Amino acid sequence: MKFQIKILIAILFLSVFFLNKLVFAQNNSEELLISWEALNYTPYDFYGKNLPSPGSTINVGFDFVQNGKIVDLSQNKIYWYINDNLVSNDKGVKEISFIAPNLTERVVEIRIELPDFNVIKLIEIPIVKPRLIINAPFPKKEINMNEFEVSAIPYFFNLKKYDFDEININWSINGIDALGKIEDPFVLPIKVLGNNQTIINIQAYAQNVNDESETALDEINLIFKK
Amino acid sequence: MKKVLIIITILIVLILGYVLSFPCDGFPETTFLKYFYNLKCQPSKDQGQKGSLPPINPPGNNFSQNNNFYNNQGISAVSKVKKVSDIKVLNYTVNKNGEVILIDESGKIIKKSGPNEEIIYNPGASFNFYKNISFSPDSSKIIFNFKDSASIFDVSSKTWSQIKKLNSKIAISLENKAAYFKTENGKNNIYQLDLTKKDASPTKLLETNFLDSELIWKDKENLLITTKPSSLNVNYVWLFNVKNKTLSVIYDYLGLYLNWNEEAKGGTIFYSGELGKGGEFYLVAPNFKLQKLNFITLPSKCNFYKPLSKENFQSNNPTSTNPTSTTTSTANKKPSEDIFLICAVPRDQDVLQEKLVIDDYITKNLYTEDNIYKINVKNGLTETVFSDQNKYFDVDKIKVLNNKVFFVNRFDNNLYEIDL
Repeated sequence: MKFQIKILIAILFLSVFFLNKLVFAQNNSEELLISWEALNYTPYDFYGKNLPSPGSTINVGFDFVQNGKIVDLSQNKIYWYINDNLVSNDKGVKEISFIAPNLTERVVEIRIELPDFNVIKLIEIPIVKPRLIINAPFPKKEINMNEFEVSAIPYFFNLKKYDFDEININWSINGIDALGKIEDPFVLPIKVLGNNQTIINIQAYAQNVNDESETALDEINLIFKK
Repeated sequence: MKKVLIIITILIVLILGYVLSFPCDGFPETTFLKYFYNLKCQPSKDQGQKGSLPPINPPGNNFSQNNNFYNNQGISAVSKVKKVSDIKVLNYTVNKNGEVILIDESGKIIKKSGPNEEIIYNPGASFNFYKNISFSPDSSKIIFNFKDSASIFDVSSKTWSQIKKLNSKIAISLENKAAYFKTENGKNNIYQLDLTKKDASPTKLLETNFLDSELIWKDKENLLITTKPSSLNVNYVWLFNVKNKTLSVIYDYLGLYLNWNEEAKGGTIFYSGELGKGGEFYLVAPNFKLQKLNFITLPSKCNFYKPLSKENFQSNNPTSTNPTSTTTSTANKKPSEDIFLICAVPRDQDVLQEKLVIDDYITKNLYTEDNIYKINVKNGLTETVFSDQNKYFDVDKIKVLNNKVFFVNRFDNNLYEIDL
């Protein structure tokens, strides 16, 4: 065989070898797909992520993907760490639950180790305070009607029955206590006397009746302008 | 001998050229060719700063007159904003006949065709709060997602069906295939249900431990798996190939929020800045490459559309002045080749940099006053659709059909339309 042909065949073999290496490298990806959920109260139409507040139950789960497929880990040891503390090293445990700690740290670190595959992944779960939002859908926070309403919306409270009845709400307008509607205390009707331009300060304070330490406050200023 | 060498070289070059010439959407599924697909189509890790569309000027300023992109088709949209109905809506859709189907705050399903309104379902006192309401892409089905189940309303037959033990909202493809997470024995499994067949049974596609996730149809063979959005969490987008049952990671960003349009084969993505505040906004190509847009908005404020040609639009628009336009059929409509992104963009861009944009917006701590722009996805040319500084719209649930932009104004929850 001529020398050139030998060279050509060698180049072709090498090309195929390296191409296969590259293809193999692309398909040999390994990923820990970690996800979590926090169980606490959000309104029915909330489409964001429930963030855990202190005391919320947090579930964390994962799947290990190799070459695009989920790997059966039932016979493999899985190490779970919460803030560097080992909480499980049993075989096949792909989901854990725990209670969100208080706010000394703003995040909880979850680390998962699969020694059989030499894989480690760490995620951070944010811990937030329960939130209360005064919903005032007025452009530029300006209002020109003498009678109108605002509402308070609680988020991330740890309620037992996921029911509004478990939250006490208190309102004030310009520093003076005000009452929400009898049929819905989370709605505050406001009546402005006169037509002079004025700033209306509204405060709302919410407290979990099951846990008095769980509170949230919000405050807004509206401009009344005829 | 030299001839043989030349022929072999040419052959190799031709084969490589042929393989690489495949469009990303139609790339062959052969394992060996995956390298070439990845080489050509997979997003690089440093994407994000590629390309840019014309900037939207700082708050208080419209596009300057010397900006070539300003209002270059002379659109004067101020007079074209129209309230579709005084009904406060939870959600709505528009079918291809131009009929608006909306769900009001008491749960009534109302079909609106021109000035006529017909209640096609009234839940009466049995109305319950839905977690969310979505629609099939052809508007033939309405999905009422509850916490752990969903009811599907067929608009034409006015019949209901139900899916139980759900752990996500239902995603419906252009082919009317539903995909959803279902809780079984502590697992959250992905199921598919063919809604075109009356007695079809759900098919389990994958057993997973994915929590608090949502599904979106990317195309007929691929589902996107996403986290529910939050500015404070590192959210992900994973790709699940329904046919091969393979999974791969696409994105992994703080505060990621994706919206995808299966028909337009594109999407928009927002992700947060440092500590969850502010962020950046991108156009997503079918191969997941990102193109940065020089403004911030939420993906729910943008949607894609292919405009109808003028002739087709007139012959299909029931409100057209053309006296011969008596039909609302869409059979002969021919969309143009250009794809546009219609985006409502908050006028005050600076304030967003100080906000947890997603969390503040979704929790109603933040309302925005928006202008609306039309961006040609191919060349970046931008037109102003709406920028009347004396009118205030916080645009939500934006849709574009029959050369009209529809949206719900969060300030009053009414449905509005603007002619393009």
